[in-house]
Amino acid sequence: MVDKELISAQMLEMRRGTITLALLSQLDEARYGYDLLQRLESAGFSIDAGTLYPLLRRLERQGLLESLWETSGTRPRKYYRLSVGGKAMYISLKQEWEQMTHVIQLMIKEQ
Amino acid sequence: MELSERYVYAVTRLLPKSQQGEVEKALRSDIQDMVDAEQGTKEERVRRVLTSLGRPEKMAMNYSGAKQYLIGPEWFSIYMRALKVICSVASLVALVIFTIKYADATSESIIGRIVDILLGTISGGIQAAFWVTVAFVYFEHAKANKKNPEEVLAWSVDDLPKLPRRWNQQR
Repeated sequence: MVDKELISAQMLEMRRGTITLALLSQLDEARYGYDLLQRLESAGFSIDAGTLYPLLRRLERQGLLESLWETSGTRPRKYYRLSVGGKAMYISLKQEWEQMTHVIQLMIKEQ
Repeated sequence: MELSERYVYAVTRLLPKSQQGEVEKALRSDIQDMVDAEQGTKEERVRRVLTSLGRPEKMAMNYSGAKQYLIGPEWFSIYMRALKVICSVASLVALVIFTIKYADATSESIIGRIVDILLGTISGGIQAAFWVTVAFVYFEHAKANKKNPEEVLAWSVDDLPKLPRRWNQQR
């Protein structure tokens, strides 16, 4: 019997690779951190706020996201949106994902 | 308010200067959004949100994308090999040196001399291990030297640092 910790570590590892794709998929329109957190949550893809906020910032530094401060609301909010490079990245990741799920589906069904 | 400001400070003080301002503003606003969505007294809501965000050192590392290890996987196997070889050699050299040094010491008993020789040998090995480790950590982090906290220690919001006087809340 494999212990539970090992299983959850492996699950975490698998999810980790999909976070960027999940996030980029929601950024065709400009959105702010907490909004994204809720969108992902309600789509069934739960993510820690402590992971999401720094990730947004890192993607911005890598040039994949553009940001804009919206100051007209109750408090200033930072909105993120896909840059041109981010769109290209999203398309590549999406293709990879489709290819991978296809292949894995085939392998799983073989058994 | 004070607690969440302490959290923002705890995270941003670990970041490079160039990133501090931007992360500070964004994190403050993100925390506020989360606090507003919670239920309960202000204090309870803030504490719940900050606890869910987790240890500020870890958060800062997520922001900066810094390395979270002393010696990474590329170096590790080389490090272990170097450690074995160099420690063996150093212990052997220390053994020889201390044997010569204490061989004709007349003032001590045989047992005393053997203990001294053994202690000298062990400390020679430990010193070698220390310097090998220092060298490898240097190789690993030659480009970006970042803080490395112990992830294992329990953390609570009460451990947040006090705000320094120069900390401006409405920056």
